[in-house]
Order: sequence, then structure tokens, then C-alpha cells
Amino acid sequence: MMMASVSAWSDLPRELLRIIIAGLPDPIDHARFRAVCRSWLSVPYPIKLPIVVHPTGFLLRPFGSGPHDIFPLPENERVIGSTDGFLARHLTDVDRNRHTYTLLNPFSRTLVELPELDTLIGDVSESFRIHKVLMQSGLDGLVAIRTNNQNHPIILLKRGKGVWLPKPRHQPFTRIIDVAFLRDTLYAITQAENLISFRVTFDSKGIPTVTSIKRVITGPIGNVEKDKDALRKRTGDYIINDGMHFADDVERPHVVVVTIWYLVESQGKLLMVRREMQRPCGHEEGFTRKVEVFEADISASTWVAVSSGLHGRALFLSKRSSKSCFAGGEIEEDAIYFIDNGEVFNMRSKIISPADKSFGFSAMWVFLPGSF
Amino acid sequence: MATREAGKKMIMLKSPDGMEFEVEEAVAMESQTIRKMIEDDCADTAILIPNINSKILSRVIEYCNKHVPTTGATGAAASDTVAPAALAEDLKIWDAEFIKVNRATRFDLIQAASYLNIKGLLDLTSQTTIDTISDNSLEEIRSFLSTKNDYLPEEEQTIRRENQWAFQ
Repeated sequence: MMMASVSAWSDLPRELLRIIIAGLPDPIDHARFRAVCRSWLSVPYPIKLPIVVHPTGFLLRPFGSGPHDIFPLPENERVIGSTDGFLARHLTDVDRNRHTYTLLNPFSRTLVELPELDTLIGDVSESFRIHKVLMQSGLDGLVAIRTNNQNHPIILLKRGKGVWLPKPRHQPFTRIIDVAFLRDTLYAITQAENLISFRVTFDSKGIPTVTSIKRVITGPIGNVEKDKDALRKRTGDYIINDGMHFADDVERPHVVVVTIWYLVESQGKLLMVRREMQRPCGHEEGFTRKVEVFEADISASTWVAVSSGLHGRALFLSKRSSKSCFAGGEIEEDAIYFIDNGEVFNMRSKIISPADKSFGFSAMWVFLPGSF
Repeated sequence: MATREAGKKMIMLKSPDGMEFEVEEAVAMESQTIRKMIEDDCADTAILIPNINSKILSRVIEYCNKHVPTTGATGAAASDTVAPAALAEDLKIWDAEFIKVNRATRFDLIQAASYLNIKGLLDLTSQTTIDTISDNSLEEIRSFLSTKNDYLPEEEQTIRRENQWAFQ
């Protein structure tokens, strides 16, 4: 006879648990479901594409139900980063010309202030931009911030403790075009495809400091940075670009070739993705014509081309937030998802699926830790 | 034992605690499990429903009685007078009342619905559980469903840290 004992719900058959988890619409519910007890943790859950967020605060589902308006932001607020389920927000007080920064969990609405950033970059100019915000291990861990500003190209922050800054306008910091954490170390790539490692330690007060900087891989492209430095000296432009390189197509006039680089950690390895886009002159929209993936072989100081695939994973890339995720369900295996124009590149078939929806270069994925 | 009453074929369902329930075949066949037994001719006499006690079985029969489609001569006449939308609305209200049971009964109902393969009842019982999870904190879910937290304190800490976004 069926009797409900104290722990009966823990022993619910797996097929019933699967029905229940499939019916939970919100990823936050999946996380809570799995935290209830061991047998619930072991239930596989439906894999869904990550959510897309636009700087104006609209959460969208990439290929499906259309706009998903969860929290439209006021005019003076923008989402500038997405990391570990948190969105980095930038608030401008127009009257006082002050900027404040917060981390917001859009699901639970938890809001965390970043007074260290307010002090440091609270009165920056109009042209100041944050390119990327990256948490190493949750709210209490290290936060790495990459900006377009030559004086503060990289900011390392530990909440409630303090910040570390490189010397203004110092190399290699000003040349960094993307950053990623791999275990305890922060890595960065430059447009010359150099890979640089930053070992970060904390002093007795918990304030982060970079104790060693190493160029672990020297890229094959030598001249780009010198060209750029020359350009900067000529134009006096001290703004760091967002890791996009523009060149004329040698074979076709009126066509611009845009190269974009991404650095992303995948299963304990660092991957660099070099993507070539083709754009008609004077147009913002373009399409991808070539994608190459390289794995950092740090012991051999070289990039190794990856042609096989991603071992059952997929890459979600954007300049503001990139991540490697388990494939399955809605997520295509060995695929690379580009957020800006919605293209999907399959590493095995080499087929680039044309853009389905375009979100622009300032859009970002919202990844939920524990759900991948 | 199968009998006939007013032209309708009857089926006898037996619970393991010895109770017998005589139901119309159409009602019993709301359960895909029983339908298969009947269709495979395994139901000459009474059908023993293992694992489901008389209290739960009577509630399941109550649900099937309400949800059996009203087809046939008299049924067609009935559906001419009642709009399908109103009928569906009526069923929804009835379902909402039906599922207002304690968690032990709900737990038994969800298992019975799964074993007997009654889609409507499975949807209803699992949706109620889904709502419980959606609407409550982790501690409340554990308490409402009486699930035992079998994580070690360190494991629970790790899970909470990894899913910090979900618990804040």
C-alpha cells in the first residue's frame, strides 16, 4: 500500500520529477528544485538557450517567444555587463554628472552596490565605456573590468575590500581586447594575438594585487599593435577600441573586412575565436565569412587550431559576455552562437546559419551558473 | 466482475486493501493502463490495482467519472445544450476543488496518476507541485513537500554558493 512517509517526496519516481522540472518555466526554479535534495539534484533538466539582454534592460529569448520584458530600465540606466547570472548596471545622475555602478540579479532582484567603482570612475567623461565585467567566483570573489579608457584599461575589484589598477597608459593593459578567467588566473588577449596571464593575490586586508604578468603566447600577428600605436600618436586618440579590426577587402572594393576576437574558457582550456566578417562599405550590418578557433597551449607557448569540435559543448560569444555551455536540448552541439547578428557557426560542418534575429554588438547573454 | 447495467459495460476494480469498485468501462478506460488491460482481454473478472489503496482509488475514480467524455446518444444531447467552453470552465473549477488535498494525498494521487497513466490527472497533480516550487523559497518547498534535506552542510553550502543568483 502506498504510504506517504516523511521523505516520500524525495523518493518520487524520476519520470515524475522530470515532468515537474519540465514544467518549471524559470531557470531560478530549476536551481531551487535541484537544491531540495540529492535525488532531485540528479534529475536532468531541459537545456535552454541563454537569455539575451539589451543595454536598455529588455530580456529577450534568442530564438523563440519574442521580447520578454522583465525589467525595462529608466533612461539614465544601462546594462553594461553580464556575469554569472548578474547584470552590471550603470546609472547616470545627469544633474550632478555622477555615475554609479551596481550588480543586479534580474531573477531575484538582488541589488549589490559597487562603491569602489563609484569612487574610481564616478565622474568619467561621456566617452568612457565599460567593455566587460567578469566575476571570478560569485559576488565575494574577484571582479575584472575592462574599459575603453587608457588610464584605467583594466580594473580589478574585490567588493568591500578595494581595487587594483595598472599604471595609466601602460602596456600591455592598453592593448587588451578580451579577458577570461581560467582557475585562479586572469588571462587576456591583445589584437596581436598575444596571450597574457595575470596572477592576482590578496593582501592581508583582502585588497587584490597583480603579482606577476607574463606573456605566455606570442601571437603570429606582429604589426597590428605598432600600427595602432602609430595611429594613436598621430590622432591623439587614447580610446581603446573593442577588439575589432577594420581593413579593406583587397579583392573587392567597397567591402570592409572586420576581424573580431573573443577569449573564452571551455572545460579548463582557453579558447581564442577569430571571426572574420564582411560588410559593404558604409553599412553597419554584415555577415560572417570565416571562423577559426584556437586553443592556448601554454606549455608550448602557442595557439593550436581546433578543427574537431567542442566535445559536446557550444560557445556563446559576445564582446560583453562569453561562455562555453553543455549542448543538448535547444543548444546545438559544436556550435558557436554570435549574439550581434544571431549567426550560428557549426564547427564540424563549417556551416554558418544565417542571422535569425540580430541583437547588436552591445547585447549580452545572461548565463546562470549551475544551469550549465 | 463485469456486468451490464442500462446498456453500459461495467468493470470491477479492486484495491489491495480488499475494496471493490464497480465502474463504467468508459470511466475505467480513462486510465491508459486499464484500457490496455481491457483491450488485451486481461480483464474478464475484477482488475486488481496494486499499490493504490481504496481511499486514493476512490478519488481517482471520482476524477475519471467527471472527466469521461460525454459521447453517445445521451451525451450528444447534453453537449448540445452546454457550450464546450462553459463545460471546460466548469471542469477547471471542479479540478481546482478536487486537488485541494493534503500533501500526502497529493503525493499518492500523483503516483497513482502516473501508474494508471491518466494524463489529465497527472497534469493536474504535477502542475500543483510545479506551482509549489515556483511560489516558495527553498525552505518552504522542503517544508510543504516534507522532503528530507539529505545534503551535508558543506554540500549545501557549495550548492548555495554555485547558485547564489537563485537564492538571493
